[in-house]
Amino acid sequence: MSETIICLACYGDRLASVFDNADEFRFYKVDGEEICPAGRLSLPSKDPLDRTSAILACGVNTLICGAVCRRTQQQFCNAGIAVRPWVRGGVEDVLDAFVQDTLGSLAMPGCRAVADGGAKPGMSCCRSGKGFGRQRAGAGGDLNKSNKGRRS
Amino acid sequence: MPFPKELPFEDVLSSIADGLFTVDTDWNITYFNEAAERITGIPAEEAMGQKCRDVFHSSLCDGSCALKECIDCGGVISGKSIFIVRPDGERVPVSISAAPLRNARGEVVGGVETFRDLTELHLMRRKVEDLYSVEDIVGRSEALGKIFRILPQVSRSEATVLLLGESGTGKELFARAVHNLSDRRKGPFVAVNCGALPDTLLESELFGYKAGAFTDAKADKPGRFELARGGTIFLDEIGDLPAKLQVKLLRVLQERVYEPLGGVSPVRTDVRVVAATNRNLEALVADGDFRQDLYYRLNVVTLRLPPLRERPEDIPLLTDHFIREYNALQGKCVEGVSEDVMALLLRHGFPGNVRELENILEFAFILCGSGFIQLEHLPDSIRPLEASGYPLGMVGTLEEIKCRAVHEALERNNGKKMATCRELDISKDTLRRMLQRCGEEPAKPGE
Repeated sequence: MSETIICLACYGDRLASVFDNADEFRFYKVDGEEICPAGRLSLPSKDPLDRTSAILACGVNTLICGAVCRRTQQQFCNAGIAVRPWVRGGVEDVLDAFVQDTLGSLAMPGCRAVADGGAKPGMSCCRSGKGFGRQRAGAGGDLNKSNKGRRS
Repeated sequence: MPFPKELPFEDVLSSIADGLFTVDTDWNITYFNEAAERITGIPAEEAMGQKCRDVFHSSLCDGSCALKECIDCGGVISGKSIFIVRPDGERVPVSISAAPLRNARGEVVGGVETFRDLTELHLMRRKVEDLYSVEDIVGRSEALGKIFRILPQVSRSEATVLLLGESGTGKELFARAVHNLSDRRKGPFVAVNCGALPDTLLESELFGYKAGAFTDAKADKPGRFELARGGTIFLDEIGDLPAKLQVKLLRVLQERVYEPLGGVSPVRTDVRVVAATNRNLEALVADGDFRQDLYYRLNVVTLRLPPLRERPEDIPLLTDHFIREYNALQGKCVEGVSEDVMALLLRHGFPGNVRELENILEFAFILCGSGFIQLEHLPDSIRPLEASGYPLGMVGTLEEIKCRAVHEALERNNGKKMATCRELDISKDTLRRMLQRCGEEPAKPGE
């Protein structure tokens, strides 16, 4: 069972509506059934290239964010990072949805198909090439049983 | 003027070309017109009732909301350039206007935002730039247009070209354009700044030297004229050329030969000379600092490059040009400059000409990674002081402010110290000490 690091592009305690607007990146380590905070990163630079490089340097596997332009998403994809864009909601809700594989329910209006990854070619990508999302041991695994109390 | 009650208000809103949406006080969308659907790519039925930030995806949506600013301050925002991100990942440049909405009792019940898609405008600007550019020189002003019209013919001739213009007007760019448009384009383009090298070094740089010409000259060294063989040599700051070299250059222009340092036989040269200066050569000739015969040899074709302040219509084109260039160089996605930045640029005097504009935009690129360059991204030297949050004259350390006050008072009083003392209500000794601290006067021994 491999360990995965996910990154949430946040504004305050919610996902930033646009990736470029995020004032903080929150990292979570996903190991089997557990999600643990793995650090935060506030970058003074709003330069998308700087942000992309910083996130890449943190060993992130999956980025969850709001609206993101094609070019930035492509940069992540080229680096082998899965991107789950067009998601909205508070950090806790997003983590819950990620664990339950229901991020589609938090899709921004009019973006459901894109957030689910099926609408646009090239919109989904990941290291394993099996579509984005958390790398899970078993498709039907009950992963969120014990993780709620472990994040803060 | 009240809207006529008998007219279908919703139909009117639907028919306008600009996107328009309204929100309630909780930022939930209460109306979303057809143009808004088209520009954002989101159907109205999905947008209605949703938080505007989740639908609009603009560069202002997290923390800099224009609607919130309007509602909080009770004002309106007009023509602010931002970008939105569509669900297909496309960044769309838009110009937004926002205002609060009030009920009959004057209470704020929400806000309205209109937005215009600037994509077409940007494409048109790009086409216009292509239309109004020669080589790397961009401009649509009449002053530059005249030069553009004759530049190809001038370039194809073998005539010596003299470029006159203030610092930063792009003299080297024009020199390169002359070279690139000439039959010598496949040859080298060699630029020499005549003002940057000491006289003795300049001579050996231009004409080269022979082994043994001086101590340490162990082997022949080709000069720039030799390196430019078959191409063009650009002599920048020609007005700074020392008298001795003026004679030598005159010989090159007249007889196409020169002698390297320590050489005994003349060397034939095959270069086209383009010279440039920001100094008044005629005045230098009149003062005896520049040879008249050389001036007339150089002055076969003279191109006067207009300063940027005389062609403000070129500023938007040049701005777009530099933004495109820096985007390509730095891999950024800066869309352009906001309207207020452009207004500021158009008002600025640009004593440093195009180079100053380029430097301003290069600075802005450091602070602005994407979207539109706003006032806060500009250097303090051009930014209006209200944007930096300080009143006029109050920027800098206390000592700097004092120095500035003394300096300005002296200027106002034509350098008269007693009058300055009276204006500032300080003693002569205080003024003297201030001037010493500010480096205007040397300190006396023991002070």
